[in-house]
Amino acid sequence: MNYISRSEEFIMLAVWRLEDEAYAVPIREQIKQTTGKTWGFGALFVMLNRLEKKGMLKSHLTDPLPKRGGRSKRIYRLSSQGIKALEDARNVQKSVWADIKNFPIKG
Amino acid sequence: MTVQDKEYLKPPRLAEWILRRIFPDRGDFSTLGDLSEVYQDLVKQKNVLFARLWYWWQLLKSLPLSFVDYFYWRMAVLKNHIKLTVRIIQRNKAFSIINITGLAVGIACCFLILSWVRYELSYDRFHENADEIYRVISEFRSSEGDINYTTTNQAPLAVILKDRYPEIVDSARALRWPIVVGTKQKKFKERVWLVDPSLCDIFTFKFIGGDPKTALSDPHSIILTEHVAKKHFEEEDPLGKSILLGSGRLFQISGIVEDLPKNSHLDIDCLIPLAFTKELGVELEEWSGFNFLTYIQFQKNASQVAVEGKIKNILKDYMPETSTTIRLQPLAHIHSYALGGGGLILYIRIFLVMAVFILIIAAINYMNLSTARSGGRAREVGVRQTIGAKRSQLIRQFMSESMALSIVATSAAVVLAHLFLPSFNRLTGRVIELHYSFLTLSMLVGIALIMGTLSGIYPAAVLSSYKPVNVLKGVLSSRKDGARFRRILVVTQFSISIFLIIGTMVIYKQVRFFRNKDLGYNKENILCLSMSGAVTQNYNAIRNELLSHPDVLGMTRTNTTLDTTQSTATSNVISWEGQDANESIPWLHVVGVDYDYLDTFGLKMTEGRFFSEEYPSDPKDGMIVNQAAIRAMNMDSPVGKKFHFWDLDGRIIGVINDYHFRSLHDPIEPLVLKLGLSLNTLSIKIRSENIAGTIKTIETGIKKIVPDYTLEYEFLDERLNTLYQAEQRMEKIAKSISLLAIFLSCMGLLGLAVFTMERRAKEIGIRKVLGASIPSILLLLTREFAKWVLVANMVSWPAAYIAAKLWLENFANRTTVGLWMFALSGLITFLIAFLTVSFQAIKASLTNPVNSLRCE
Repeated sequence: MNYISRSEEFIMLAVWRLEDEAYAVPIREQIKQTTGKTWGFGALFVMLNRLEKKGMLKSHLTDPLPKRGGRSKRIYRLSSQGIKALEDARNVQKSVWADIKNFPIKG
Repeated sequence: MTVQDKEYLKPPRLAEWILRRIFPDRGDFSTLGDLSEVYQDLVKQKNVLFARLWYWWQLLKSLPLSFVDYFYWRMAVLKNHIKLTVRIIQRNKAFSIINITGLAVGIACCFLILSWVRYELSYDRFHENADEIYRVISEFRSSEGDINYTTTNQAPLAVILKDRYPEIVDSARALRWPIVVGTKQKKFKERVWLVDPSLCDIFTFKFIGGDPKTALSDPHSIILTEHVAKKHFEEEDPLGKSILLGSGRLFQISGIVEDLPKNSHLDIDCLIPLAFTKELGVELEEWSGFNFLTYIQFQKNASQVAVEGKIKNILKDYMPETSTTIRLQPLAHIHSYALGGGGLILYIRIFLVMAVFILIIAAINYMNLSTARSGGRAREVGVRQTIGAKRSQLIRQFMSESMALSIVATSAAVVLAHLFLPSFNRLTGRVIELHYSFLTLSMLVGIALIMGTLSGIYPAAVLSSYKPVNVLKGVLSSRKDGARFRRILVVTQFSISIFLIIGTMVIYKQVRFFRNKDLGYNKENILCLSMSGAVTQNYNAIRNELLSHPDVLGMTRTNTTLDTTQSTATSNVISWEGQDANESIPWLHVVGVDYDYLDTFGLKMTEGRFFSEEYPSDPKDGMIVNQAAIRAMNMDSPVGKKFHFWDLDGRIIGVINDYHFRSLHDPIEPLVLKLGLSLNTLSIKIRSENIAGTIKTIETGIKKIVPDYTLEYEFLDERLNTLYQAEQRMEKIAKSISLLAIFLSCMGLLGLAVFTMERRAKEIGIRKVLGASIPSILLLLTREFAKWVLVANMVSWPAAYIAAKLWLENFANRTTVGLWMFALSGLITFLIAFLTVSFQAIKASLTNPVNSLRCE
């Protein structure tokens, strides 16, 4: 099977964490907090679209909001496939690190 | 949508607009919302300026990606269009092949003609100072107002021009001197030029060996062109070696220059210093004969008109009596502009017009066929519209289709042009290469785009305007869909073709006229030889030797050949007995002849007698004039009258018939014949049988007396033919072009016929069911086409007549425009059109009506 990439993992985790408030602005904030990197909106939109196309994410629109110039938020949620992919990612993460000892070498 | 509160701060409007254009974003613009949200926060946290900058930055960062995206989808659409085009080509193979071939042939022809024009106009441009170099022309004016030009001037002029006028920075004289050049082993006749050393500064000669500065400083030095050096010395280094000119004059080779490009008017094989002429007894300081070519170089930016104005009458300062004036001819004009107007440039213009004509015909074909064909695609358009295609999308589809076709055609044209280049070169007598300069490339691209647009725009506009309901219901067939427009196009095409056909016939007739015109003398089987040195000295011995041979019918010597009579006497040196003081004085051509001139050329005396050895006074004062001279002088009973020209006094002893002693381009002008006058051309009349053997005999005969003689001869009629080369070439090219034009027009007609027959299949079916006979249907179908061809004839006849008249005005001796030409061109076009159409018509009328009516 194909694993999701690191950055895909960040985004999907952010979506999971944010629950009902998972739209572009807070997702970007979340990633900044957890990874320390500021993403451009363009890059973020590309990733979100790609994940949605792959079926990892689902999205819906909210009502228009005045703060957004009368535009909706696009709220993302993980699909069951997305959840599965995240689990896989975590398991792989665990197993590849499992028997690594004395890393980094001390002294 | 517009739920906004008062605190909402609008992000930069322009940036937002651009973002909206390039990111459709599924139509909901939630991403724009995200950006606005952050923008609001930024304004509050920092300030408006920072927020704005940030917003723009976001836009800039997203641009590259969006471009890629945009092109990706554009290509996807284009791919679809191309696929469609390919399918349409495959579905209508015949149509498409006619269409593409027609256009390709047209463009290829145009491309070739333009390359030729480019080549002809490139003459002498390779000199670095080409724009500053001029040739000095002498202009003679008779008191009757006739103007004559020569390209040669008097010797001192060049020096004086340079000394007197600061605008003229350099000048050089040149004298052509064709002479046998060689070593002991090999001898060839070369075109030697005697020149001032400054000629090498004015013109750009590329020296391979020797020093350009000093190469001509010694009077006995010689510069060879590369091919001459190769010919004489092969692999050896010729520099410093000696070479013989004529009978035993030794010259030391001081320089080798690259051969001049083909597109140069200078026909130089070898250069030797003009100073050498002192040894030949030519005076370079005297204002005597007009013998020297004079080239001058201007300062940069000096104007031709200004300088010409200053030097025009300069000759008066040195010869107060003269009426000769000076003119300048730009170097780049020498090849293509004749001195008295006309020249090659005339043909260049004619062919440019022809190229445009061909292109128009090809374009019309293309438009016609595309339009006709697209009429059958109305249903497709209807379906597309119903599914939701916008008008702009339909237009784009048709445009990209025709663009694709025209690009294919243009590429095919380039291939065709390369294929036909060798035959084209044979036709024009030039060695042209196809250059892909920026100009030609942009021209090709331009043609492709224009053709694509023109042929695409009409179907695009018409078809996209249909109402889908009507189209799908089939109401459309009641519309004419551009039938009249296409008819006009076909008529235009045929008019142009007919015009070209008539033009070709006129040219053909003029060329035939040149060939068959009775010149007033016998030009067949006459050998022309030029004489010099020992041959001239031993002329009488040679003559006796040759005439003893039965195949040599006669021989004589003159001072010019019959195609290039040049020496003239200007009006101020002519006078005659009984001259009316107010009488205008004619130009007089002077030919030096020998006693047997009359018999050798089969000329006739109309009054008096020819020169004869029985009259010892003839060499001194005998003169013979032609009938034209008698008319010009308005003389009654001329025989015995006193006559004076140059510094010669004499009496008219006879009048000779008006024969064409110059090119047929010129009228027969007054002529005087005089015995003597440096007779250097030998004409030998031989029997028409066993010509090769006779020539051999002549060579051995001369060699008996002058052992180191090499025979170089030309036939008079061949020499005369070269005078009309331009017209002969033009005839050939015009023939090909008009053939092409009629071919292309027929293709267009064929396409249209096929189309019409298809459309009228049902009508024909019904007619047949109701009892129409096959001939009557044939008549019905061809009548319409015949009508168009008739209209085309009517349109082009007057135009062709006027054009032919104008062209023929260029010739002093010209043929007439015959009525039969119009009749013939009409017949030809009718026949061809009929053949083209009737094939389709027969096919249509033979079809079983069941086939065409079954679906109703």
